[in-house]
Amino acid sequence: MSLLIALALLMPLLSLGLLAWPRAVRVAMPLAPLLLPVLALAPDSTLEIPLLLRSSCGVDAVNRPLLLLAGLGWALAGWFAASTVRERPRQFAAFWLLTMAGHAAALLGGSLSAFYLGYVVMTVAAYGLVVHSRGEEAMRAGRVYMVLAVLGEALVLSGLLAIAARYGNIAFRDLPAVPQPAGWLLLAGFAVKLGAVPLHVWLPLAHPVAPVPASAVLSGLLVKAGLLGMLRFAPALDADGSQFLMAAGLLTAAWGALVGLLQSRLKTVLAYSTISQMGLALAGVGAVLQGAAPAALGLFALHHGLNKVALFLAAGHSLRGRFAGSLFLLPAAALAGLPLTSGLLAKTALKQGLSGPWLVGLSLSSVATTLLLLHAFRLAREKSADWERPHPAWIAAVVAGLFAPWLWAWSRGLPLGLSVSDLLGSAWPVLLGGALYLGWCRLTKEREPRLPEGDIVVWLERLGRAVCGRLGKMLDAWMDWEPHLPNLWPRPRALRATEVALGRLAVAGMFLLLILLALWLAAA
Amino acid sequence: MNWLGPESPLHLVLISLLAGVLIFIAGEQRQKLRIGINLAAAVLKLVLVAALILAIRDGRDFVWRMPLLPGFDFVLHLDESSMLFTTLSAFLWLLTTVYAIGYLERSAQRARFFGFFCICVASTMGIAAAGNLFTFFIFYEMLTLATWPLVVHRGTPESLSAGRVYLAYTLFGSALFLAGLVWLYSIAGLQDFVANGADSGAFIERRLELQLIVCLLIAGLGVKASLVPLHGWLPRAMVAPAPVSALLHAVAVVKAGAFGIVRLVYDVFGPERFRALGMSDLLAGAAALTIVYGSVMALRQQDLKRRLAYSTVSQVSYIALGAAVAGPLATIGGLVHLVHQGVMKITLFFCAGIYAEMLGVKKIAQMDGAGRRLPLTSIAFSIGALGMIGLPPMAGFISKWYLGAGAMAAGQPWVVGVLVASTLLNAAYFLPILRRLWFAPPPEQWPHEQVMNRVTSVSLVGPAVITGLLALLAGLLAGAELSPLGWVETLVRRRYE
Repeated sequence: MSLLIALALLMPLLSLGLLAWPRAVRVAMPLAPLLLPVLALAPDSTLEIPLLLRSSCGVDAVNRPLLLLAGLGWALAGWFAASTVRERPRQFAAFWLLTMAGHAAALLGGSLSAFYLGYVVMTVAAYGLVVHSRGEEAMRAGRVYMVLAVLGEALVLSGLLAIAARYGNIAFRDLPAVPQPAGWLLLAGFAVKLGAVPLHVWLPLAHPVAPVPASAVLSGLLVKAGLLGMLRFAPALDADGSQFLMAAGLLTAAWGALVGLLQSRLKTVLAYSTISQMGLALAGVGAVLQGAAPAALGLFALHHGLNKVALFLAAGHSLRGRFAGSLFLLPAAALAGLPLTSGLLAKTALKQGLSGPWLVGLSLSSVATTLLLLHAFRLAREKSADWERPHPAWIAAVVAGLFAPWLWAWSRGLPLGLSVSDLLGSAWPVLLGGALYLGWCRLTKEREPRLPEGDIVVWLERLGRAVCGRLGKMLDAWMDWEPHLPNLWPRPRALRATEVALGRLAVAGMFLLLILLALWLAAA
Repeated sequence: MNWLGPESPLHLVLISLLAGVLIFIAGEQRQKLRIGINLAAAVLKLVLVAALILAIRDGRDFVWRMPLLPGFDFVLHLDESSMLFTTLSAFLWLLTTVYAIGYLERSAQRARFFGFFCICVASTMGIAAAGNLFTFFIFYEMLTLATWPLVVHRGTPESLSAGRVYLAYTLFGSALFLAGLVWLYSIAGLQDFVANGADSGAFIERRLELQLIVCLLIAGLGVKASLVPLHGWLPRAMVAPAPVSALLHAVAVVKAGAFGIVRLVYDVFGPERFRALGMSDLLAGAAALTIVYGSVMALRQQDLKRRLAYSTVSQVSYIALGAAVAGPLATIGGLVHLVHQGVMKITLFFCAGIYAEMLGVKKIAQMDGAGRRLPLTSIAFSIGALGMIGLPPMAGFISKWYLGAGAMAAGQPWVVGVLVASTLLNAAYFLPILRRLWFAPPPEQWPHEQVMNRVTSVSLVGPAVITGLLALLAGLLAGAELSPLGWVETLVRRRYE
């Protein structure tokens, strides 16, 4: 067993060694993640690795569905990537495999350091996937991605340090309780990855510019790492924040759906759909804090991940003909939660943890998702794409999205949601959504986006630029004090004179003595 | 290990000193002989250090004592903390020598350069091995003077003026240090460095005087450790040739200051008494200010080496911060950063030198697409930069982890805030460089491209790759017994038991 875990972690890294041989890498990209789903079916086990701060890795109830998702998703998207990415294929493969290695480590990591290692490697390496096409738009998306990723990283790290101060590099299963405010820091950090409003702005920028398979794994798999992080710490968190998380989750769900409707690029719409769906997951985390079983969220992640991969792969094709159209509509219907799809299954499981008004919110989100995906379908039909014939990886992803969640729920003994009330309860939001969509189409003819991609990012960027500009000016003024700098900026004469004076050692020394005196007085 | 005796610490110092003298005697023309002496001395010392590490791990103690004046003993004493610093310098000295041989191949005055280079390392060894403040001061001054010819090596007006600034600052610091030293002597006599400080009754009674003494000593050490506002010389000294900057920032001058602060806190006063004197908060405040200030200033620089220099200002203060917070975890974080920062920063400076020599790239804006042109160098640079930000699995992560956890455990959560701010700022000034290296299109023509023969380019790129690899392995294999972290953990366990 432990050998299997070690191999699963090493496969992507070993494949990196094949980079010199393009053909071998193309074979390795879909094969490297294939041990992950095998692990998902294996019994609980752990492996101690003497790396970093003595890490432990393992398979348990929390990461099992995500392992299955990661294995299938990486393999299928990798298959598509190996045969479609023509531009700088070696560089793409390098970042692809590195991201995969990080993701595998984050999934399997059972102690703080192992998890954080994987999480960081994955986050940093994914930058290479986002900016792969270069170009101004991609670089801007990469910049926004990296800024938010580093912010999230810092939040997560400060939370981890607070835990480490008390318990050291502890394994998740031994973690008794997370002290506050470490819990909030962790949740906020993971919310960045998850794409919770208002930390979601990187998603709609990164997805449309990344190559198709890269958006598929970003949206289908990597955002789930935020969910994994929350689930890892959920048992040790107190339930105070659960109401807040549910509210934030449903707000995210609504925001994603509404802004997505005002977009005109297919991959952007799909990105907003991911935001909206991850909002539901966030609400689910709130339910888990109140004591609901995390298995429902695992199932939800599996269902959304596989179907989202299928939808993104569809975005790389042109949808002529009935067959291709149905390959888009099947996963879309699943996401909307049509009866007998995996969506209904996942939502039934999710419902168990929610109550009262939150349930209404869940149904309303189904209406919104239906609207959004119909909008996506219309866009998908209109656009032309590089690939005419359906790629086998796409077909396989659709099939996996149709059946894998069912098999998983059945094998884990989760409720299947086949009762009449469940079926009826799930049918009306979809029907309502469809009806609304028809009305919506009547009303709107134009195709231009009515909100910029990443909505509030435009204001945030403007704000950031203003703050940086102001701060830069203050620093420039301050730099005049800084003794030895070349004249990079023009500056007034009076300041220059001060600078020369301060540049002399004696003045700096007097200054030091004054500071020391002040500090010492304060300390005494 | 029977050949190791009490005079081994002296040998450690003498090897480099002798090498320096021999190089002066050999003169400018005998290049092969000079390279031979250089490498032989470096390897010999590395062997000696390795043997000493094993012996000290087994619990042996090496003290060499010679009375200079009544009451003034010249003491060399190797303990675990000195081994930390000696190993770092011995190893990086060898690599820097190789690098410098390639780097200075076409320049004049190489005998002068390498002679002072060796004396500089000898003083570093002395600083590491010094057994009391007096001995420490002797070598500390020797280092000041031996470094000056290296800083002004190029002889241009700019480097001469940088040398003047350097001397002014460091001699000013030495004066403060000497004043503190004499004052302390008048109160407590000359005490050897002992774990947790010497037990002297005088330490309790004369609080006010001791506080002033600590201020003087810290200010004296703070000049070399580049604590704000005494850091002004460091960014200017980067006009020196790249190997000198590398050594200056990673091992020699800056580290000597930081190591002195560590000695002062742990072995002269002892962390508890230091805190009781009310000086911990002062030192922590100064370190925190330096960390943030240095990073902000680094962000404003357009010149690669200058940005790296400000980054050193910021990063070296992690060590002082660890010493100020104290407690087992933060001590580990601070001490291990002594090694980690050295390895990572020397990698960055090696690479900066390679970019400047091979491509003529000195400004950050010129670095577009250099990753394709010099892949190995750029990979090493990326590892160093990511490590500086403190991302796992690089060495910097380990330091930050222990420092942050130690600060939380010691009830000082604001330190975590400083660390996080530093992380963000480090990311803000290193990640754009990495983006330029790897994701920007290369220019039509590099500013000043030079064709190098194979030996030269290997002697430049080789050391950078090795230290880059070490910066990765020191983090990845931190759990091993003889990793920097493993060694520091043993050290701290012995101290805090």
